[in-house]
Amino acid sequence: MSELNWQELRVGMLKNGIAPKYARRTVLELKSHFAELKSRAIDEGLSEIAAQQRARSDIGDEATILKEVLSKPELRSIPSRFPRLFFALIPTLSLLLTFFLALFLFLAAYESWSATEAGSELAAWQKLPVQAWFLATCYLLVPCYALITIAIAKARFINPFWPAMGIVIMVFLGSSWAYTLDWPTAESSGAFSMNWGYSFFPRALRGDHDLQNYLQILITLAASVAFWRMYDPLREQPN
Amino acid sequence: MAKTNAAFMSGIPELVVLRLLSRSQMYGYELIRAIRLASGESIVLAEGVVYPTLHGLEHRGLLKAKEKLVKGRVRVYYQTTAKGKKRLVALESDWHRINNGVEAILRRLICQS
Repeated sequence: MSELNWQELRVGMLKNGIAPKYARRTVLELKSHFAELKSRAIDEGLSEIAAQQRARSDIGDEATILKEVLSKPELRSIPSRFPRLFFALIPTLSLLLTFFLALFLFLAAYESWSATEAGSELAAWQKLPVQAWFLATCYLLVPCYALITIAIAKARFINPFWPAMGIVIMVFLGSSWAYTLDWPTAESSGAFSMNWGYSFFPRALRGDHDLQNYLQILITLAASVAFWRMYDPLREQPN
Repeated sequence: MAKTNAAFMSGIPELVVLRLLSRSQMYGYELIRAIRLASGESIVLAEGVVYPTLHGLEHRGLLKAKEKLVKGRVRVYYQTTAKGKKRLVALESDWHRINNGVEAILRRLICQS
C-alpha cells in the first residue's frame, strides 16, 4: 500500500470548487502529517511497508478526506460559486468604467494642455505616459484580462462556459474603442476624439472598415484559445 | 483504534480545536495528539479530516495560520484569534447547557427503570 494519491486528492478538491489556496494547503499538511505518522511507526520498530500502512490507516482515505473538505462550503472559491458574476458581469462593468474613467481623465488633462499658450508645445516626456496609457487601455487591457481569466478558470477546473462568454464579451467590447489624438502645437490647440462601435459592412458598402478592430478580435480570441489549450496548472505544481 | 462515532461529533471538533489552540499554537499532527491525550483517547478522528476543520475556522477568522519550515517539513501552526476566543466562550456555554440537559434525561430514565 502506497501513500495517498495527493494529485488525485488535489484535483478532486479543485474540481469541486475548493479554492486553490486550501487545496494546496490541505495536501501540503497531509503530506507532512503522513511523514510524521510514518516516522513514528518506524521509530516503534515497524518496517517501511508496515509503517506506511499504519500511516495510511490513521490519516484516512482520499474519499473520507475529500468528503470532509467538501462539507465546508466556505472553502469554495468565489469564481466557482459565482461564475456568471465573476467572469462576465464584473469584468464587463469594470471595462466600461475603465474606458469612461480614461476618457474623463484624458479630457481633463487635454483641456488643461490645450489651454497653454501658443508656442508651448508639449515635450516628448509629457506625451509618452499619455500615449502609453491610452495604448494600454485600448489594446492591452482585454488580452491581459483574457489570459488572467483563463489562468484562474483552469487552475480551478471551472466549466469553461462562463469564462469563454466573458472573454468574448470583453474582446468585442474592448476592441470597439478607437481614439485620435493631435497634440497641441504652436499653431493649433490640438484635437482629441474617441469613438465606440463597429461596422461589419464591407468597405465597398460603407467607405471604410474596422480592420483594426477585426484584427484585435481575431488575435485576442486566437491567443485565448491557444493559451487555454497550452496552459496546464498542474504542471506548475507537480505532485 | 476505533474511530469516534461521527453522529456524536457534530460541532465537537470546533469546540475542541478552539479550546486547545487558545492555549498555545499547534500544527495538525500535534493537535491530533493533543486531542487524543486530553480526551483520554476517547476522541479519535481520522487524522486527515482535522485539516478541513482548521481551514474552515481560519476562513471564518476564528484561527490564524502561519507556515514554518521545521526539519525540512512545512508545518502550518494555528492559534485561536480574539474572535475565536469569543466563539469558544459561546460554544462552551452551549455545550454545558446541552450536556446538563442530556445528563438530566439519562439520570431520570435510569431512576425510572
